[in-house]
Parts: sequence; structure tokens; C-alpha cells
Amino acid sequence: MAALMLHRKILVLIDESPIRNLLNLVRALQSETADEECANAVTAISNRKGFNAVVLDLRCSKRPAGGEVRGIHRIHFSVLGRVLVITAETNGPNTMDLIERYLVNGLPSTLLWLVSHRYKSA
Amino acid sequence: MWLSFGVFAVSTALFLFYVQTICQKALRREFSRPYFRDVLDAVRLEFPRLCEDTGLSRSLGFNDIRLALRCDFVMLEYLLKHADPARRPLPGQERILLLYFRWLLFWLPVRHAFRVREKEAVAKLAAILQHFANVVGERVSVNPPQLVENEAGL
Repeated sequence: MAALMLHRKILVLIDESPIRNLLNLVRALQSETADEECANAVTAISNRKGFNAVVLDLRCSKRPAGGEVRGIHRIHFSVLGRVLVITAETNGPNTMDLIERYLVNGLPSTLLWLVSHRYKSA
Repeated sequence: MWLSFGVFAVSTALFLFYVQTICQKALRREFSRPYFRDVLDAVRLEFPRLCEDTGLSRSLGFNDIRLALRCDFVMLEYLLKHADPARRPLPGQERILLLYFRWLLFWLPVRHAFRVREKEAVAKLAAILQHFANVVGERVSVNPPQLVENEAGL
């Protein structure tokens, strides 16, 4: 049996400000990875008329260290009706907290990048 | 004094029995196709893993199971209430089922502490989540192009 994610956090983003912060975060990931699929996620978030809210499902994955960008291993997104659901696998619970604080409080993106490397919470 | 207490106890028992009957009736509902698979592909919920293994307590910790159930519930509850493109209100049965789920999840630690039919409770909670996923899929599939899925590997 596959192990469950040991840490999970569900964030519902309705206001403009956290969604804009999320867009900045995913856009930064896309610029670093140049991943085409990541660009699709940016397009989906940018299309504000297509959804009313974003549900962000943050999880800790048990992947080996390395390969992640800004503490995020993988992003998966889907649109269900009027809600955009984004699942992000992070490298540890501290990264999850950091992302939450960034989205809610608008922690500067550069600071997020600097701090995420210090966490070894996996 | 004792008579009023007795009346209260019987009324409460009848009420709970009534609620449970409504919930079981709602859970017996058959969908035209397994909509929950679409939702699972899109959202990647964890409750199906809880049903896979009967040796639940051996392989998983209680807190892990509870966290998985709670997070899946939060996700599905939000989708039930807000994802419908037609903005239809949630039927009364589903609302009662939401409360019933909360009630079962609230008492899960007690069942765990006293080892009272814990696995049955987890299986029932997973079944309710599957029902919610079916309802979400059905409500969203009214407008199929809205269910877009994509993946970004970093």
C-alpha cells in the first residue's frame, strides 16, 4: 500500500491578492524550469474569469531531496467547474508554511527563494 | 424528572436513527457512471488508499488516516458548495450527509481510543467521501469542457 502524505494543508484562495501572489510564485517556477506544462498552469491562473476560487492542496512528498525548485517538487492543476484546484508537492512541512505565509502575507518572492533552500524539513 | 429524561433519550435516539436512515438512503444512490474517478484524477484525493488495505492499523498511523480524511473532506466540501457551474444549491440530503461526516470524524478519536469498530468507521467515512466525489463529478460534468486537467512536473 502506498504511503499517505504525512502533512497536508488545504488553502482556499478567493481574494485577488493571494491569487496574484500564487500567480507570481508559479510564474517564477516556470521561468526557472521553462516547463511548458507549468506555463499552462500560469495561463489557467491568469484567466481569472474562468474560476471563482483557487483551492491549493499542499502536500509533503517523500521524494528524495534534489530536483525541486523553491521547495516544490511537482505541481498538478485542474479546473473543476468554477474552482481551480492546484496540488503542489513540497519538500517538507516548513515549505508548506512558508508558501502559506507568502500567499497570505505577500512575503517577497526573493525572500521565499532564499529561505526555501534553508529548510531541510523532508 | 426521570420521565422527562426518558422522553429526551428516546427522542434523541429516534432523531439519530432518522438521520442515519436519511444518510444511508443518500449513500445508496446509484450514479449513471463512476464520476468519482474523474474527480480523483483531477484532484488526487487520498481516501481510496484507505479502502485498499484491510490491515489499516498495521500500515498507517491513526493521525495519518484522520488527516487524509479531514483534508479530503475539506476539499470535497468546498467543491460541492462552489464548483457547480450552474450554481445550484446543495440538496438537503447532501447537507445532512456533510453533518453526518463531521459527526463521525469528531467521534473517530474516541473509537480509536476505545478500539470500538474503528475500521468500520473509517470505511464508512471513505464511502461518504466517494459519494461526495460522485456528486461533485456529476454536478461538474453538466459542462464537460470545464473539467480540464493538466500537470506540471518540475
